[in-house]
Amino acid sequence: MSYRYSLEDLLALLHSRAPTKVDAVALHRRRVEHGLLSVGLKIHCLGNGSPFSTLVEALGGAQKILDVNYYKDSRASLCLVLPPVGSARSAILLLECIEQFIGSALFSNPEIQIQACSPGRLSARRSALLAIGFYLGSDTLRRYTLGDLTTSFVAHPHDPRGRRLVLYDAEGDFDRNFDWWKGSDKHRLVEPQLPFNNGRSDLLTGSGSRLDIENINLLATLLVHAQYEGYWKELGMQFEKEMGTLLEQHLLAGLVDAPWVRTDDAENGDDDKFFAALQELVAYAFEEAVRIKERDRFFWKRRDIPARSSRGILQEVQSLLQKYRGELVKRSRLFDQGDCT
Amino acid sequence: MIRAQQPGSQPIDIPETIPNPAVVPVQPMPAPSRPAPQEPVKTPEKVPAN
Repeated sequence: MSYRYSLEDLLALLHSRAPTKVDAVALHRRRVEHGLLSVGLKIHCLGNGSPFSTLVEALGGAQKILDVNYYKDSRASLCLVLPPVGSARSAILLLECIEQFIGSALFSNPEIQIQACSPGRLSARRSALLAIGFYLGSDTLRRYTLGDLTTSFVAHPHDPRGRRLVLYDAEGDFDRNFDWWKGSDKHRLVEPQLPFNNGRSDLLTGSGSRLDIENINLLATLLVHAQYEGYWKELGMQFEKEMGTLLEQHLLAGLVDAPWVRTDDAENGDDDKFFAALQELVAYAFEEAVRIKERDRFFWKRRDIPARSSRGILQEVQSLLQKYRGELVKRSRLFDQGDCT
Repeated sequence: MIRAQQPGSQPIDIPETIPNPAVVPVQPMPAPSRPAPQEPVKTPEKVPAN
């Protein structure tokens, strides 16, 4: 992450327009909730960037704040990198503060593309699960073109990232100073730093929502803990298994073998293979959305809906996310109460 | 918006985004009216009644 200003500078600036929210972010900036991962954000502005001009100037000017960052969506006039915060809640609040300052919406705005950054590089398979879980769990179903996923690092000489939903970092600045939960069950240890010196898995949400940020934070936590032996490893592996079974039931298990992230492996460099998998997922989800709408129109009373073996992939993914969010919070609270069994 | 057309049929508009019908819209969490206090609020000491 390349940013040449501090969160304190940014908050001081935003305080004039959103004092209460800014105070909340300042107070909880490094607070990690339930052992979930810290959250970084990048805002790609596809418009002319004018709403951000006052903010950028006040932080030190475009040369200092924006030009230092070579990475951005190829269609964007600017990419503003935000300092990471301890939780999805703080990240959402920070975006709301910026919305109030610039007087323009950041959530669900087609002119704004939100990139959600999670610490830790996920394996190719786990990156696939992150992307698929994000897509199916989002409150918006999107169609993509490869152009939507083109960044200035597509064919970078050292860090080629291709056109993907999930992108690794380019080994820039990395803030490790967030709590990391390790151990298992009753033996929880809280380390003051993340267990890796560098490395992120970022997700290009498109015009993202609050729910997207929360879902990506949950999914990344489960998958990163499964990979790096964190406290939520067991829960993460259970999630992977259930997600795999769910995809199998919908004959979509093969999707996870596509290259959803560009790794160092040369075989992973084919954007078209990834895009074919993404299009298959998109087509399946859109078809399912039409089916749900038709069903709801026909069976306008919910009790009339006939029992089915499957409720459809969109509802199943919602249930899965709710189940794991609930389970994680429940176990975390049980531990805090000293009643972990 | 993407336009799709088969020979002899009316072109149809395929939207780039649609709401996910499985997601129940949630009311946004109300913003806290004031930041959480860093220290517990102190209670005044009892003053003996006259």
